[in-house]
Amino acid sequence: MKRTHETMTCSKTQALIEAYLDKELTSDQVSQIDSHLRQCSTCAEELQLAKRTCKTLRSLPVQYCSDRVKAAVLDQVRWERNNTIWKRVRAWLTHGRGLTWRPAFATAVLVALMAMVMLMSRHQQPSPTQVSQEELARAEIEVKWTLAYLGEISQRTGIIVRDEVIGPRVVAPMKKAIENVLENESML
Amino acid sequence: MRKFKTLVDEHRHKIYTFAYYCIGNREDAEDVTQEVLLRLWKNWQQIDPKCLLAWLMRVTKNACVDAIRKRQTYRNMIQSDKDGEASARAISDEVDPETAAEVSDFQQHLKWALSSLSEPYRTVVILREIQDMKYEQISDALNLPLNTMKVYLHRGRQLLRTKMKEVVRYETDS
Repeated sequence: MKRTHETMTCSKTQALIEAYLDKELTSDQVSQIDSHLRQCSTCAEELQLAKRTCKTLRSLPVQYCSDRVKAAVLDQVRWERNNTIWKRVRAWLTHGRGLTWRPAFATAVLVALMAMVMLMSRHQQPSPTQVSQEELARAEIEVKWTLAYLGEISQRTGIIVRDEVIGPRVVAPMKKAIENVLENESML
Repeated sequence: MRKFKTLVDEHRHKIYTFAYYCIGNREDAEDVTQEVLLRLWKNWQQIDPKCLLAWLMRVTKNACVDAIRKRQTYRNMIQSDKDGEASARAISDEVDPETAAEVSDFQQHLKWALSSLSEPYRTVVILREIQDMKYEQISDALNLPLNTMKVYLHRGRQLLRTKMKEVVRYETDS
């Protein structure tokens, strides 16, 4: 009967160590390797080294990328985005046939817009001053008092004119003249 | 723009981690991360969200290869160093001052060994063992059949193990 470790040589064992660690071998292969490892200290040391290497690799830390890199990328992206919009405008203006009419058209549109803005600002009516309700009520009262005062003054003026001007200077002389005429007719 | 910012926050650490372990130094890893995120900005609306991680890792890997090549070319210009491994060692022999006291020699040497591993073994090992990506995701990212990817993973770990033997021998002797 063949001893199992003779069929599994050192070079073959060492070549399969990684697959052995990843459990990718058949059960026969695993048992052959286990058997060989029990008998061969060199290969056993190789297995320990492979385990240690694998464990250390898996423990290597994830590295932190600084915020500076992120900031630089976003700055570049913003710049390219703004540049792209300008490039599209420039491409539209200069690309294709009839190169001359597009810039002229764009300029004419711009001038027309500016002229419209200027005209609208010139014809704009000033808006009436905004007055509060309280001020309106106060003004109304003042107007009423003023009208009442004017009415009072007019009445007094009328009385004065009647009593001091029209009465003595017009009515009284006329009354005296009529009385004289009547007296003369009665004597005749 | 808001959605893009969310994507940046979600993926920048993974991209940076991959780039850092691939290249071995922080400055180049930051440059690569920035480059990858800007490519993401140009293409993110055309990418299927399910394939986004695979796309990012693929672009990062290519950017890392370019960065290493540029750095090697520069070093070849200033010194006649044609040994890629020596260049990788010089690039990656950067001890993080914050953790130097805590990190074991074994881990430091493993990081060096990892960044000096050739492609595609390095990428596969980083994506599987550090990023903890599934086999299917890695095979999508690298456009490799699943079995081929597993073979590369095992071979990569075997190569690392070989490099680490010297460290272990030194530890044992001292």
